[in-house]
Amino acid sequence: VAGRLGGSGRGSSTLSRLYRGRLSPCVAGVLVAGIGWLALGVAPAKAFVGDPMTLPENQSLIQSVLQDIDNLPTIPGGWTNPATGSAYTAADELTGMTTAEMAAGSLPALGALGTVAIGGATLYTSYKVFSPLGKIIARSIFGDAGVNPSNYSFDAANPPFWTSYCTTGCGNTGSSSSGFCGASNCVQATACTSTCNTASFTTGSNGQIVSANGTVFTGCTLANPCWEASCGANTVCVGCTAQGEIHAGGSFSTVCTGTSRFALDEVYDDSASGSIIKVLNTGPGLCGSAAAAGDCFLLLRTAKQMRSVISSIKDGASGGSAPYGGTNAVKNVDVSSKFNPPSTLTQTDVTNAEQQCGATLGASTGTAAQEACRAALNYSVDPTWTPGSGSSSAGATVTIPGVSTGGASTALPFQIPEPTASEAYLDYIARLRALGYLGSVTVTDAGMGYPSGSAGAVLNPKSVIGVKVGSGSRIDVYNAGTGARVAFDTTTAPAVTPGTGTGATTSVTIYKVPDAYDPLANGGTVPGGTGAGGGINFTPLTSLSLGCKFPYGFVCYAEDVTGWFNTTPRAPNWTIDVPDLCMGSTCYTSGLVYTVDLSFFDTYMSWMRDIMAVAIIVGAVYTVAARLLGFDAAGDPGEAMDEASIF
Amino acid sequence: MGFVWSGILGVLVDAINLVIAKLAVAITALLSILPNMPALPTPPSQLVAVEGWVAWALPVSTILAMLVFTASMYLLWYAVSIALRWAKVLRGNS
Repeated sequence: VAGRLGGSGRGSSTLSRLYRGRLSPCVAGVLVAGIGWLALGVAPAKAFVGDPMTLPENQSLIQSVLQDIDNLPTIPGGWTNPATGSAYTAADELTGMTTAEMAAGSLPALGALGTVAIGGATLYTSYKVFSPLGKIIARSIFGDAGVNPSNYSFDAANPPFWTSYCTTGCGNTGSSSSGFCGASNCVQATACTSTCNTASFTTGSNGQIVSANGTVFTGCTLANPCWEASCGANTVCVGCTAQGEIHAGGSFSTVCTGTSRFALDEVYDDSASGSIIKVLNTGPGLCGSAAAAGDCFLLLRTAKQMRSVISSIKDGASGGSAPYGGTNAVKNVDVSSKFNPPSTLTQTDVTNAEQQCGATLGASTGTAAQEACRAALNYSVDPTWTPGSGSSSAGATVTIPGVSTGGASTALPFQIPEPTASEAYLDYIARLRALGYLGSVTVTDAGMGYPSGSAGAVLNPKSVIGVKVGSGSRIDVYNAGTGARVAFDTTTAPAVTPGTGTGATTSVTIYKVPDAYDPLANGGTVPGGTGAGGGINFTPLTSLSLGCKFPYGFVCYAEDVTGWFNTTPRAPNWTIDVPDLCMGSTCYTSGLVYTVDLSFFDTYMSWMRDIMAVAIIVGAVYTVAARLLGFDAAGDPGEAMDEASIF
Repeated sequence: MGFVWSGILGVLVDAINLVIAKLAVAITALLSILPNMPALPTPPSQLVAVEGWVAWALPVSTILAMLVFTASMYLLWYAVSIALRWAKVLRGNS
């Protein structure tokens, strides 16, 4: 456009040189999109729902699933809903997912907004957010948390929220803002406040607690202890000096919060039972009695927060509990920095979504919609997940058709495949073998009585025209009366059970065109001499395997190297382990581990990648077209403006 | 008469197919003489992780696809331009 308006011919301008230096639209597109990306350096964290998902890494997937109502997850057909005893219905899934999404207050459907509209608006906004006001606006749009988790401090008015999944013996199930203390004492918030015995500890030179073996507990004082022997092994007392502070030592790590506290003793992601976190009080609990293994499942405030804690513990340097290695090992981790609320959602929003999606289904099954919602989400983020495998899904007995639940594993049955047009019977047998069929195959010549000139009459010799499984009925590929091709009904085709075990299919009969059959004598008019039906065959050339030979093998290298970079996007994630700083018996820093995880950018980066992809595609196509076809619509922008007026 | 023509055409097609098949055999035999290129080493795991990060920040798959597209188009044009120059549609070496 500049070239059209100006055209004064300042060919030596800087802008002109840049343009002639092939600053192509493709590169320009990348630059513009990259600037937009950098400008929007604000966490796009938004609504998510605490949920009983099995994989900690899947939070972004769960979030995207809930946000995009155009792609509601579905449950594999045939799974039995324990709430109804029958298969999940589409209405169950729709009701559960929609309710959960509405309760979560999630974003409207991306599909409805339109990718192009989002891209344009985002690029425009990218420029705007350069200003301080723009940053404030962006922060209000994308969340209030900022990007530094350590900046967060606990809000007493919005305390952490506990959800208990007790399968047996728990005195309380459901949700509470102060924890639970029942028959099995899963977790307790307020007891032990003033009954702790500090006799086994001494005061260090700087007022810290020092145990009998010399261990120094930083951040704690005898007057305000954070760990007490009289509370029992693996237990926690109170008296933290600040909300969110961490006290590590002995055989546990302690999380102190505004209103509740417990020992993170043997905390791990219990994927098998479907819980996010599992707390096992192997010794006397906070209230004096032990909880049995598997009794309690705790969900702290939101799943993502607890997953961050678990991730931090897993990534720690000193072991941890099974399945991540170690036994009752100390995990000195910066847990408090993980308690960063990632959105402006109220706790009620999150809790409603959890409950609508079945978060309180531990002790009993929920409604069909709740069960369906939970199953759909779990299956969506983890296709290998099956419900009913743990105590937290009590009653969720699921039957998956075709899968044996006991004994030796066997291959799944498959429906007899449809013979392709003119498929030779040897090729068809090879396909059966590839599918795992090990039984015998009987080949029989068919009586060729098809009307002359019909599809069945002009078949090549040895072509398959029918198949039979065991003693079942013969399935004809061509109609016996008209010779026309018959649609292969896959819904009624018999199943073949591979293998050699009980129930395995032992015989398949194939009906073929006789070897001596002459299609030309039966109406065949296809050119190609004895190779009727084929015409000129370039397959020998097109199917050549060139391999990676010298000297053209560099193409293989290029393919390999580009394949290295064509990987699945993965958010940068690394751990910084700060060495302990000790002088004598006093340690000023101990076990500081910081985890950097940019996965909360995932949704936002997905948008940016799409936008950049559009710019790159348009730019590349334009560049190629302009160079090959001589198309130059815009002219030289440098000719329209003098850089002296710009710089 | 139609059957006669069909038969003649069939023989011609068979002859062409035979030439194509033998040509493929000859090429295969020639290629079998050429030495194999040594395989590239497996990239270190750290590099694989970084590649995932790069793919997170940039649409790497799209960039690679466009590079392949651009290179293919230029090669195709190079081949077509030879024929066009021979037909005097193009002049010069560009």
